[in-house]
This record gives sequence, structure tokens and C-alpha cells, in this order.
Amino acid sequence: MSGIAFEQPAGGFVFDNCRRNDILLKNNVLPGKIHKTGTTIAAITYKDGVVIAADSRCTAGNIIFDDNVLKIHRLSDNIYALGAGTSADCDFQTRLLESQLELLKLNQDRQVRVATAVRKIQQHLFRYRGYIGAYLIIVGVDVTGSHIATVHPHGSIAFLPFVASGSGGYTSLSVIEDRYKENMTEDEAKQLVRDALYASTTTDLYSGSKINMFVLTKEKLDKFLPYEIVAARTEKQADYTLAKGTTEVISTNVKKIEFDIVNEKVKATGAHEAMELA
Amino acid sequence: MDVMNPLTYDAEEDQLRERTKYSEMDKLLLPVEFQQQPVSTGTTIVAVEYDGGVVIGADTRTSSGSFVMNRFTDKLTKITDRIFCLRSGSAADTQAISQIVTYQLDFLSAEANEPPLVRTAANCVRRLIYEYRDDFVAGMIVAGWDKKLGGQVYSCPLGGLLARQPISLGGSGSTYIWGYLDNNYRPNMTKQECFDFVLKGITLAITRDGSSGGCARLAIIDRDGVERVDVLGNDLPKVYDL
Repeated sequence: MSGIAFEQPAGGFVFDNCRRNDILLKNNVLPGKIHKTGTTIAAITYKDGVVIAADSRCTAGNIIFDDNVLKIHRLSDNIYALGAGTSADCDFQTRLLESQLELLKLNQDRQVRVATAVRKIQQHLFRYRGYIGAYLIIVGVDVTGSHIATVHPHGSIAFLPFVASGSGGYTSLSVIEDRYKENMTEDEAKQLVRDALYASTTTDLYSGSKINMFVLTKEKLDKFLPYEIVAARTEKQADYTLAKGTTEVISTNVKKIEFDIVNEKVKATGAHEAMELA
Repeated sequence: MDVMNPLTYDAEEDQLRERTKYSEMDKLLLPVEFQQQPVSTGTTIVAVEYDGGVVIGADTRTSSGSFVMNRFTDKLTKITDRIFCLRSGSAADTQAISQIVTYQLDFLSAEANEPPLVRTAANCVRRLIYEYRDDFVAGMIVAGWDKKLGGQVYSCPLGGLLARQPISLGGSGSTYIWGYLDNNYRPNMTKQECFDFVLKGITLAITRDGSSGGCARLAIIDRDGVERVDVLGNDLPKVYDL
């Protein structure tokens, strides 16, 4: 019975790994879940530029994995991206795009445009048919003005005056929808974005911790890291340690238990174990 | 059947099993968003030829499941100066198609040193939709004006058919207005008659179709160029409303 493995492959597709996966599934060996962040990210345009903000919580299931994550990624001096969805995809796709845009800038000796960045990532995501789980908001200021674009994993885009995304995006969006006006001042815009993020960080369990905010205009980039710490942990109001003797000892009874030694084993302990016991 | 024992291995049966099992693996491996519906334009799009040009129109809603992702979408996408395409189906697919066709026609017009024909544009769209008919969800209408045949409307639905029609409609909302448009269409309408006719059609679709809504965007394409008109939701013509 010569094994099939020794034969020359006949060409075409090989489904060996699918079969292996089936066997693993049958034996309840489940594959690892992809690391995904619940997020709130928001961006609005105002008179002179754009204000963008993101929370800083990274979750893995119900566990807060990291409480101080920067979800605002640099693409170039004048373009930034906010990422929601699969955090690894957001990180790597923005890094990839950043290097592409830098090379483009050096090649043409010009500041790159937002439309270029958006079209590049759109075509890349479309090629991967939604398997790159990056929900991006790309914002920037260039010679044509200030822009905000949302990009979805399947490769669809939309340029909008304001947008919010992520698990807390619906909450944030309703705040922005309610109070957004054209040509707001910088202070108004910052306050609106702050309120939008505050609403979602306090109601969405997968968003929280800190609000990071960037203000981007033709002239400047202001970074607020963080802009605000939401629901920061305060001092405990009382000491809950019980005093010695709180539980009264009413009686004591000491008994000797008789036993036979069946098996005896002596085990050497490491130095660090001994330290811990001490 | 056992993979470890190759003698009992039946390739055909195994492949059938794989097809079902693989999707189970997908469910475990992929995060929830991937299983969600992609962003798509549950849409109403209408294009009508009139005496001297075409009027095209669409609603402005883009949805993902039950969420309106964009309430002021532009589904009338410019391909050349005198040719537009109307998009329905997956937003990603239709945006990609219109971008590719725009590029192809830019190239073609530079080579030929004259604006491309509407039929050429429609054929480019059809070729992509037909070639990727198993992968794309895209139903498009190509409309415009050229020197040879004047105003033209080409319909390019899901499977990759291409047909010139004096009136064409598409998207989920179109089912509600086939009857209205068939009943009221007359050949050689004036520009204004045609405009009102298209606007009324879109309005009727918006009021009945949940996946269509927002405002109405229209464009008139003729010898002189393109005239775009955006009608806000509260300015739409009055129709009987429950």
C-alpha cells in the first residue's frame, strides 16, 4: 500500500489543508479567532480643516486588551487615517500606504493628495474582496481643500463632510448629525467631536478609556494625546480591609489524624519557588 | 471515508463535503463584519431618452443591511464629458467598474482624438459585468449623448446582457414603478416633460421602497453638455402618501 504522498502531484488545486481543517474541526480543535477591536472613530470638516478623534481601547472578546492604543495612523504629513475593524489589518495597510505615498511624494516632488491615498487603498482592498477587514476613515488637507473619505473592506468609498465608524460609530454619528453645521469654528468642531466620542465611550462597551484628537489644517497639526480621559478611575472612598479579630473565635478543637504512609516522594524545589514561599 | 487511508478516498464526494465544511470553517475564522452584507446600493435608477438627449435620475441612499451608510450618495457617475453610468448593486463592484471604464475611455479618446461613443462605453461596462458575472453584483445603466446617434440609453443588468432601450430602469425600487413608467412614457417628449417624468418615477419608488430614499439626483445630457439637478427630499413632487 504505497502512500499517495509519494506520487507526483497531478497539478491543479490541492485541498490537503481543507481536509486537515475538517479533521481538526471534527476533533474540536478550533482555530484562533482574529483579533478585532471594537472602536469609535469620528471625523468632521470645519472652516479651516478637519478634526479627527478616536478612543483608545483595544478589546479581545470581553477583555480589554490594551487601554492606550493610538488608532490614528499617519499616511503623510497632510493625510491621516483612522482605523476600525481588524486591528492588524488597519496597522499594516496604513503602514503600507504610508510608504507608498512617501515614495510617490519623493518621485513627483509634490505633496500627495487625499484622492490619491483613497484610490490606492480602494484598489488594494477591492483586490482582496473584503478579506482585509480594515474600515478606514482617511482625512487630509491638500491643494484642493480638506477631505474626509470612508473606505470599506470590500473597496467602496464615499467622500463626506462628517463621518463616524466602528462599534460606537452609530452613537457618535447621531450626536454629529444633530449638531453639525457648515463652516464651524475650530473650538466648535473640537467640542462636537469630543461630545460625539464621549457619548459612545460611555455607552459602547467596546470603546472607552481615552479620547485622542488631531486637528489638521493647511498650516498646522495639533495633537491632543489624550484630549480627555473618560471615566477615569478615582480614589477608593473607603478602606475595605477587615480588622484583625473581626470574626470572633468561639471555641478551638485540635485532633490528631492517624494515617499510614503508602508512597513517599522527595522533590527538590527551585530557588525562586523557595523565595515565593518564604 | 478516511483521508489517512487513501484507498477509500473518493475525490468527488470529498469535494462536495469540502464545499459545505469550508463555509463552517469560514464562520469560525472570520470576524463578524466579514459575514455581514457588503455595502450596497438598494437603489432606484432611471434613464429615459427624449428628443435630443437623455434624462437620468437616481435616489441617494446607500445602505449596509438596515443602516443607511450615506444619505447623499451620487449614483450618477461621470465616465466622459457626455457619458454617465448609473450604479446599482454592490457599491465596491460598481465603483470599480466605473473607474476602470473611465480609465479605458480616457485612453481610447486620447488615441482616437475624439470623444467615445455611448455604445463603446456601454460595451466596456458589459464586458466587465459579463466576465465577472459570478463574482460581481452589479446592474448598471449607461446613458449619454454622442454625435453619431444622439441621446442613448443602454441597460446592462446582472448577467451581462446589453440592450439599447428608449427607457431603462434598475435597482430594487424599479419594481414599484415599471407600471407607471410603461403607462406614461411617450416617444419624443420635450426636455421638461422628460425631466418631470423621471423625477415622478423616482419619487414614487422612494415612497414605496425601503432601500431607496433620501433625495433625487437628476442629470440632463444633450448636445450642449450636462445639466445636473439635485432635488432635496422635501422638494420632491407630491404623491399620494399613506
